[in-house]
Amino acid sequence: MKVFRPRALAVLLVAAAVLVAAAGAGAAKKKPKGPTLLHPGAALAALVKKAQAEGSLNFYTVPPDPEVRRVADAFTKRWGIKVTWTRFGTSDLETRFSAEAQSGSPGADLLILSNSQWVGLAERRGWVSGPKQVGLPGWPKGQIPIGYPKKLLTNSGSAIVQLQPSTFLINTNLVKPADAPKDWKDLLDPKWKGKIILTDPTSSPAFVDLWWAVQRKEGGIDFLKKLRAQAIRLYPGVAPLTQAVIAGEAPIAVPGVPAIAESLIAKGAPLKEVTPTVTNGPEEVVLLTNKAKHPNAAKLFAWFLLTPGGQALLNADPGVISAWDVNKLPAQYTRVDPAVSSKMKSAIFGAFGVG
Amino acid sequence: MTATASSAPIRRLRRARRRLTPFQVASALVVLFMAALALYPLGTVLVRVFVSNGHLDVSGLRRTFDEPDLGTVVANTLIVVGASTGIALLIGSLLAWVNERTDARMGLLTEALPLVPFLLPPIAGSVAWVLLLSPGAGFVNAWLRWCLAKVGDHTFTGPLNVYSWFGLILVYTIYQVPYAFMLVSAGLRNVDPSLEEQSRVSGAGLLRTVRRVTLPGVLPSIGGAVLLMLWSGFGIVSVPLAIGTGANIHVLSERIVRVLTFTYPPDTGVAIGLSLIMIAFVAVAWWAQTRILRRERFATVGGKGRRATPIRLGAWRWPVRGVVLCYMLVTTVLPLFALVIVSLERFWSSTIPWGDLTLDAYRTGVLHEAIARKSLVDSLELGGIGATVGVVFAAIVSLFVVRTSPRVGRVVDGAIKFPATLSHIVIAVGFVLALGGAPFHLGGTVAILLLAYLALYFPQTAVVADAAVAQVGRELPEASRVAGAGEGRTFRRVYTPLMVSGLAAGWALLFVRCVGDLTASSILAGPKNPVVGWKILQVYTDGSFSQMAALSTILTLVSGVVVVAVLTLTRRRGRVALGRRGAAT
Repeated sequence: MKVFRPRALAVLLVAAAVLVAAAGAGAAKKKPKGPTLLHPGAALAALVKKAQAEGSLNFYTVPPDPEVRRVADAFTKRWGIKVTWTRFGTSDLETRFSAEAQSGSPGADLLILSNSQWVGLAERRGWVSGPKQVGLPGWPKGQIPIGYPKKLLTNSGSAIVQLQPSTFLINTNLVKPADAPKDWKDLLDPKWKGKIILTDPTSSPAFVDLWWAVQRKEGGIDFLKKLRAQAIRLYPGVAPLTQAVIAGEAPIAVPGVPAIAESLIAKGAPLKEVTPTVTNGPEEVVLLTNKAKHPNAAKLFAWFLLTPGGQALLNADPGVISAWDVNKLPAQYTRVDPAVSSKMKSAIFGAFGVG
Repeated sequence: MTATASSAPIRRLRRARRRLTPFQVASALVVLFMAALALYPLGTVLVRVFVSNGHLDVSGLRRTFDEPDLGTVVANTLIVVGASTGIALLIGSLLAWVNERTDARMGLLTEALPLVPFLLPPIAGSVAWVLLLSPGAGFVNAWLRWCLAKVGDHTFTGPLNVYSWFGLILVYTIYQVPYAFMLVSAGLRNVDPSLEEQSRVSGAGLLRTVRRVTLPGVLPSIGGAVLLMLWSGFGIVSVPLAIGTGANIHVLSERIVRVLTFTYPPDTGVAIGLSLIMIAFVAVAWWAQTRILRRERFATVGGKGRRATPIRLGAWRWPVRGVVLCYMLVTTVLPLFALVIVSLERFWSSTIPWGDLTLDAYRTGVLHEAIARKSLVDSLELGGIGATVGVVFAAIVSLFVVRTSPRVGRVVDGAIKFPATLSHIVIAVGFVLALGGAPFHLGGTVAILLLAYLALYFPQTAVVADAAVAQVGRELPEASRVAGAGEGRTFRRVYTPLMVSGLAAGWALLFVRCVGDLTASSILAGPKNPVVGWKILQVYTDGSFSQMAALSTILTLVSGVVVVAVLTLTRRRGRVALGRRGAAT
């Protein structure tokens, strides 16, 4: 005859409680209290139906072709919606879209571009809206979905989908790994005098943000003047700057953009990226066009882009960081409000002797 | 040819002049269309910029003169454009003279190669010169340093530096020479060679004949070439961006792009203000050219057609050929070589990896890239259609301007030509505003690109056509009218054959400009209407020099074949026409 054992009963009860708690936790994971992009429910199916009826989507992008192609191919494969896009620099995209929006005939259903003052202006003029303003499956209008980093929403409600901390580009044929500068102050070492090339800061609004963050941490505008004095010359963009440092025009180039540098490193270019502690870089946001020809396809694409899966596809290259991986940002990555940094634009341009 | 002036034909001619012919109506419609194309989009932009709440707002223009370094930028522009125009005129005219009048010519080689730099899209041409003359990694500098090392001079940079006044003026000049070469060549072909021969028979030496007979004869072409070179020189953007930035030499065209695309918010008022400064300089050149054309004291095509007997250079023949070949080697072969090498490299490297060259950029960037292929085909089609329509319209407009009253002619001429002196970005934005939405809905179509190309590059073609029309003179068309031919028939049977070589140059010019356009295409092209200039710009900003070089190499080869074929064909026809006319007289 079996004897009743209180200890065994206690063990059973604890085990049952753990199981129930675990099941509860699982249930909580499946059915969160708030909206979530991962589990949008019936709203997604309804949107897919409407988007498929539209059949296609066209967008403008600043992130380069290989990155957006991965997302577009996966999107088309999953829902059969044809995707076309045009790649621009941020300024060119803004100029073109502004003209189209003013003519009442925007050429794109969706935009992926670097956050700048233009984004706020375009939203105020009613040309575009962020996901928070229009609402997506799992992202009800006016709310923030669970899990999406709140700090990555811009003031106007557009959502960041890519971060690229700026780097130093080092020609590995000309600089030994141990000698490579690690941080901004290292660039002022006399041994690098005449061995640095820089990008013209007037060539993109993103550079104003970067130099604003750098001068704030490194002792003001004087630092930028000293850095300019170290440099041989300025280049009109990151693309020619990167090509020049690889070719050996100078051992060091600043600032580098991972999306461009990594594709060349993959081809065997003698190039290494060093991320300084204080940095900043282009922050790409997704915006929906208000008079889009394919509004539902655009919403579906924006939703897909914002999910961890879509983000992983867009940001698969080294050095490029997804909105879901903000913990991978450098320790002193500095978020900059373009409205604040732009007030120092003239001083920054003056330090570099341009504009 | 001297027409026997009986009173009946003259009465018939006077009656015909009073009557409005279908040709005149068609000409007026073409003029109206081209004027609308130039003015309507521009007007749309101007209204948005300068009219605020129903009031005139010229603060943008005031801000232009507040630009702190405006004087320096204007001076830089005048130095670069002025120096390159002067040097290019000298080189282009000498090349044209050697090719058209001396026995040093080498057939297709001297006829077509001077035009090749013109076929390279400016962004690719600028990058090619950076690849050659960058002080650290430029191919030419690497070779020169290797040579210097052999004689014990071990330097690590230079000796040449593209990022300097020298580099900037050099590349501007190379882009300007084809204008002078094309127009002066066409002018020389149209000047009656018997005049030069008579001068030489009368005892005048070579230099005196050139100074007293040849130069006055080609004066309209020289005027046209100077105007075109100033026009294009003020408008070049890629060269000052790629080279001027590194040299810290800033010019007006580059400053306009900066205030439009790198300034927040884009300052269109200042861009237009800066453009007005450029217009003022071009207007002076235009006024001078109009004076030259209206004086009519230059030699025009006479009634008797004759081909020039080449001047024998004797012992100078081969040295002259050597100099010409050296020029072509430096300006044509070297940049193309740099682009081809980089297109075969995985990335730009000053030491050419001969064992590791690859066709990857051609495979992945062109052959397997559907949009790149489509953009190439669409651009060539657009170039062909645009150039043909544009050159016919330009001939009609030029005739209209010449034959109408001077005041109306000047207004029409100015209305059509001057808007294109404004920044191409401003005009492209105007096209989107005016034609992109309701009621035209041309946004994202090939039609909007074609119309924009016509508006932007038509004036340059019109300058070529003006010179061609001026050189036909009045003698032959009047004879045709007296003989009873109508306006249309005279245009077809007299003007067209006599202008064909000048117009072919205009066609080539317009074709190349349409095919290689970057600035307007960056605003107007997209996946539905891709063009190659837009694609090259995309690839450049993505950072792939190899892919950009591959696309540019293919574009240069294809458009080179097209241009050479057209120039050769029209030249043969021109000779046949001249031969026939000579036989008939």
